[in-house]
Amino acid sequence: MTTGNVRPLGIPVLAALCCVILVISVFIGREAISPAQAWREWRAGAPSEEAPALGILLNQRLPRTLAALLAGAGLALAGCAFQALLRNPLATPYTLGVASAGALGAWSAFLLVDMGIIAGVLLRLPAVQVFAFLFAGADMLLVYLLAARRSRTSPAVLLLAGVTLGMLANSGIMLTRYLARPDRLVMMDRWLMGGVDVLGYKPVFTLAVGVIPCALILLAQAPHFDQIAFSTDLAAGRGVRVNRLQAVTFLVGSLMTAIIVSEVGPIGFVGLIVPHSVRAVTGSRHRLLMPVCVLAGGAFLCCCDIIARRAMPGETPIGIITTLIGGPFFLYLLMRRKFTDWA
Amino acid sequence: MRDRFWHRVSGGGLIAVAAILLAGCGSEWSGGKPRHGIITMGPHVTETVFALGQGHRVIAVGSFDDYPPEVRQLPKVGGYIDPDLEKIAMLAPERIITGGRHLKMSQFAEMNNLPLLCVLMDSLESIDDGIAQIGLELHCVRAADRLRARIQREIQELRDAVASFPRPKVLIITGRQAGDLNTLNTVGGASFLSEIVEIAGGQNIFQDASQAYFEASKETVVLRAPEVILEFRCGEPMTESRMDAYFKDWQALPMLPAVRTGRIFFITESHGMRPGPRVAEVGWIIARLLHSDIQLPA
Amino acid sequence: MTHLLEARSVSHTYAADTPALRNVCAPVRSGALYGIVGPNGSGKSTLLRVLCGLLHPNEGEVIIDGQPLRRFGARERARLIAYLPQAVNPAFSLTVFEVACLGRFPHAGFMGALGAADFEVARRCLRDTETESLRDRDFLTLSGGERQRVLLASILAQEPQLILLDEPTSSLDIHHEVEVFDLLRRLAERGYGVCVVTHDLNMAAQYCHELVLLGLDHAVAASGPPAAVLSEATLSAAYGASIRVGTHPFAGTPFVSAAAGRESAS
Repeated sequence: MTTGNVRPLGIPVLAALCCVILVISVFIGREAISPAQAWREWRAGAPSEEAPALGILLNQRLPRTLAALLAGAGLALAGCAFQALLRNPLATPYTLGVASAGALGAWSAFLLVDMGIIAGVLLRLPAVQVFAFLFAGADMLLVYLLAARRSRTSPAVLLLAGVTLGMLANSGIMLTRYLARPDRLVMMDRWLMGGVDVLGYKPVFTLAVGVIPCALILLAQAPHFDQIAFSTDLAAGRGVRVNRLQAVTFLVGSLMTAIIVSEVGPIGFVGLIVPHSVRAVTGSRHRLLMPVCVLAGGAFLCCCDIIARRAMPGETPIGIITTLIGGPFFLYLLMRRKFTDWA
Repeated sequence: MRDRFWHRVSGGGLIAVAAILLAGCGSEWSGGKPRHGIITMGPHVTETVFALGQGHRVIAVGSFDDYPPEVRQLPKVGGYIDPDLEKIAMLAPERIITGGRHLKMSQFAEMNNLPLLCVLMDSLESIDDGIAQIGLELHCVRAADRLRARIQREIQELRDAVASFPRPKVLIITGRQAGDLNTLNTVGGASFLSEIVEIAGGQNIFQDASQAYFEASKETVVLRAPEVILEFRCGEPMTESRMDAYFKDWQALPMLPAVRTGRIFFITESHGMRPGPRVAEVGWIIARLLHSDIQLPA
Repeated sequence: MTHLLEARSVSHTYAADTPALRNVCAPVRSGALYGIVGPNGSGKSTLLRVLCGLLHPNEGEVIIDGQPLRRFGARERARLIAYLPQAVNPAFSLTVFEVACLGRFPHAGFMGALGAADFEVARRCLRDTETESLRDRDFLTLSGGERQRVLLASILAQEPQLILLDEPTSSLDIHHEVEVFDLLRRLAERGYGVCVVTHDLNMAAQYCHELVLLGLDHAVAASGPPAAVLSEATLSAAYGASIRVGTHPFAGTPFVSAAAGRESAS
């Protein structure tokens, strides 16, 4: 695994693999739909009511596949960036409480909608989504303001502030849970498990608008992450503006995660295991690691979604699948690899 | 150093013992008071007890119990997940009836020697059983038999009334987030709601599902093409604009016959999903939605 | 081309009434090895951070070749001055060659792209520090001496004119310490301006061309050639303790030894 002779050949290969998964994903679902049937409907140019197969492929499977790719890519990339930034293999936006805060927002919205205090749709988006985004964003901003100092932001304070805010949000969740009617708890709990089974392209559009620019900004910082993960002081000496890098990465990564969480729920574990699994193959050079994380994260979540469609009679929450599959795989990686790999 | 450590440990121990003793006394206060009255917990259980003419014996109810109207005046002793055991102890009832089993409640009843009846009512058959059990418990078997017969009769009337109508395919929604169709909670044939819809002359598109409650795949929904969508939003304060918004959410699935014909209905009555004595009433509400020209019962 | 980096009357306070530097002047010239010495807390590391532009002093200025250092962009500055901090603890593992390549950051192209020339520089720097044989090893598995040499290769890969190091030998045994100082001296002789913060006065006396001695009052107690700086009177004043100076038995340079408490009373 040396820099000199390993060219980023993996990236085109992985990109091709992603495309294959994308195609497979469109043709696997709850219902068996033959490509031939969809093709016939396409040729016939039938209106959507009379073309159920085509409708399912174009308005359900393709959007949810794209949503899974975007969400997985964003979560993995944010996790990777945070691990480098905070120089901590455990750090992800989720470690900093963004999932709990988002859930608190979503649950408050459930409660307020039920009580008739707010409408179910705000700004043409579901109130639950709007609130989840606002709370998740507020959590990250608060964590940052708590930890930011004029000279340098301390990773330890960031982590402590984040974990504490996450706990606060959790107790807030307990409170909303306690106040809610029992028959509404099912819906509220369901939100915690995440799901990419979106309908139509509006959610995909929201995700794309949120994830793609943020991802590009993070990817552009890749060489800086190499430096800061190696040594913050050395990085500063080499011309990395550490403060600015911390602020940009933190805010952009949080924004991206908040958008993803608000759209598809707090899908756990992707941001933690994908970067580490990729690191095991590519090494820690972020110019290779980060693009591969984007592709691998998207592919991973997409595969999990395929399983979520088929595992049980109806839809299975994807958050359960990511952890059930990702957890044991990650433990296996931990067993296989030497502990010196993580300093 | 060691001495101080042990002092602290023993001091802490003493405080703990005192606390336990105090707590023990707390729960025994009621021992002195004569026990009287019934506490019913669970909207359908409370409703059943009142329907049996035993409402005057009820001294407190669960937090979500709301029918008949006089129930609202009674003290509340918490919900299913958080019964207020201290309050229950202070009220010193002679017996407690709950809907469904609750571990903490069972332990409490056992400790205090309180008769506790847990009735599970979640299907037409178990509603019938549950009423019989409550009748037996409260020594009003004849009233219970009359109530059971009445429910059977009402259900039969409903069956007869819809017999001549075609049976539309119905998608039953028990919960979804406002604003999108990302999570559609529905019911299979084994559920209470499916039973009611069948009686009311509809046909649950997930009648064949093995699970009673699950999340529908929208692919299956599209292929099974429901003609009517029944969305249960029981007890939700519903305004015109809110109903409109919920209605519009379904435009995301324009290929559904129900969406094209606009046959999307919201059931907002608080007892819409309640397996209690008013089950036939809910059946009629649904029947009127499914068959607009149905003859109303006399 | 020779370069001159100079701290001119620099004063700095981190927080109110805790001064770190007081009116300090210190030069670093190409082709010489400078040592910054002094007791703990005298401001040695602060002075080094000021010299490489990471810390802007409250008063005074750092001048490089007649221009204020502040005017330089961060990467432009990094191509002139390399800085090796005291503790380097990587968060994730990298190979030795990757570590050397990290040094090319100030020269890298779009999105940190490195070319064949950059890899060649990295390889050359590994050769210069005799770490070429380690190139595929994991940096985290190296011994202290190996690590320090690889880090030197990494900052040499920056192709700087001036090299500032903060206690590069503090965790090394005597053999490796000598190795590092030998290397620094060779670099100075090849034309680099090298400045090293160190606690080891004897090493400084043997290897450095010039010393800056900071006292407990955060001001320069003495500066100049080791023989001039390392006198019993100046050292005892700067360290606030009784210090003896003799002659090194092999090198003939000043040999410094702290007197134990009992003797200082006599």
